[in-house]
Amino acid sequence: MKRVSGESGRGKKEFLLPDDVMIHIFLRFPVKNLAQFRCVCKSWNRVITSQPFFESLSNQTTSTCVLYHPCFSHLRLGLYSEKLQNFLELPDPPFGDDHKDFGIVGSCNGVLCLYSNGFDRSFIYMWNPTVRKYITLPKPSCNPRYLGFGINPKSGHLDDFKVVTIFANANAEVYSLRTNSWKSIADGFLPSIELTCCHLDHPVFLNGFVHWCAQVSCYLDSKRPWLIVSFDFANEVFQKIMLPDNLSLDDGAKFLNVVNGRLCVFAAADQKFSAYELWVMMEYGIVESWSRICTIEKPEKFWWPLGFTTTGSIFARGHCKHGENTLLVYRPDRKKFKCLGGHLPHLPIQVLTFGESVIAPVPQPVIFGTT
Amino acid sequence: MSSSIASSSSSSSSSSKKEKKISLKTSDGEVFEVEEPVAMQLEIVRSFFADNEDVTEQTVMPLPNVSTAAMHGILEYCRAHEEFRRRMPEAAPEEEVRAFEAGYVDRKSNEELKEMILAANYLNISKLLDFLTGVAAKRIENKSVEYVRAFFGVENDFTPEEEANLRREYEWAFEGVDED
Repeated sequence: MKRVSGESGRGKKEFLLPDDVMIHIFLRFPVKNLAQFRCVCKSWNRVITSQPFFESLSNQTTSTCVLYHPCFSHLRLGLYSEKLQNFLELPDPPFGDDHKDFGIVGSCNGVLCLYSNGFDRSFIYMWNPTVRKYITLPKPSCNPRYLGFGINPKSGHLDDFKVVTIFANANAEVYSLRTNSWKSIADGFLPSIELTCCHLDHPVFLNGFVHWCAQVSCYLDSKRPWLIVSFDFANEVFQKIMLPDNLSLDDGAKFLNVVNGRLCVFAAADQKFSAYELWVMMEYGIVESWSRICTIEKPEKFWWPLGFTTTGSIFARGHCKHGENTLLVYRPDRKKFKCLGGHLPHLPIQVLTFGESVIAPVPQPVIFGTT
Repeated sequence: MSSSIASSSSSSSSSSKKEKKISLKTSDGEVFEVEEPVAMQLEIVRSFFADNEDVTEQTVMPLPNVSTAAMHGILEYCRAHEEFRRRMPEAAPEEEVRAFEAGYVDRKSNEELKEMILAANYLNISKLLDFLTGVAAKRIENKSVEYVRAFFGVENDFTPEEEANLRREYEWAFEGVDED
């Protein structure tokens, strides 16, 4: 059958399929093929790297969760498959030979931001494990105390990645991939606010803002009320998001997360870490919209919420019959914890949502179509 | 003008049940008389008749973006699916449908396939568009960039440096590409 070949059909009519039809076709391919298609012509490159295409792609490739744990000082990243109920391991990061211990700052548009998790936290990387591209950021002026990662949603560029860092002296700097440089934030960090970044509480990126749980300093208010601090990547300023009184004045631990595109807080309901109230901010930025959704309880022993799977189950670490410190999944519909097996070392473990993309963290992208 | 019995039904002989037909005119001027349930699979036709009160059975709907050749292919697909639906209204006989679709698309050259994709898109037949774009995707799976360009009739408008840079950038993506 000679017909099914790539003959260019000289002399015949040529049909150029419109972009919306090509998108139909592109969406059937994994990221690897899309990367090849970028080399076909300028208009394909533009379509594949455009915001609308990216959005359709992320809607259909159910973004998976990344789980991370440094195991014997060796980083392991895995994508959790809800169907198979196990992990697909990601390749080792191709950087950071001298410090194997990483922490993840965040995940955005298929790019992970990692930092050297030790005394010196100033080795920072952006890495797209799908397209195997990374950049080592220049060092900020001081050793970062807190970090946040996200994109500026207002620029229209899917690779307008930024990293914000807060130093121990409350000065702050923001890095932009576009300029590949750090710049100081004039007003610094908010006065009299303390971030509470325990290892279970990574910063949460949503709507162009990165968020941390925080408490008002005891010098200002002896009750040390809880609140959320955000950094606006478009305007490069810090802001406060208040919590309702019964949440902010309760001194139990708080863990920030995102569920169904909404900011949420797990509030420890007792001192034993066996029950949590799940609060969701139904309308972004509206204090009155915080709603208590449910209380999740695990009668016998302590557990900590880590994050959500793509279908709304909750990852947790805690006790089960296999051991003291195992990875669990809680299904809200069944109200049951299920052990995923695997003993966890007493080291940080993080759960983030991640969706593959072709977006490479490159300061000056070769040819990048979005305008 | 509204008191018509049956429009130009001279072509069909099996009009014992006086099946309603809809006339569609392709870009090259040919008029197809299509059984109503088949024609209604074409969303553009369905909405044309649903939205315009003054159209009658004699109205010939022009389809300036669809060639006669593409129309033949489109109708073959839609008629087959209407037939499946009529025989098994509850659930389509999956194996039969698959066998039909495989045979149907085997006979189509790349040019015919693209022409039909264009037509299915214009006529807004989402089922057929899904099917055909899936076939197109299969045909370019694991193919080289050059093959893909030829397949879609796309011209390479990168400068050699730009293309070399992009290819270097995505070197890993070119592992395991088939020979043309």
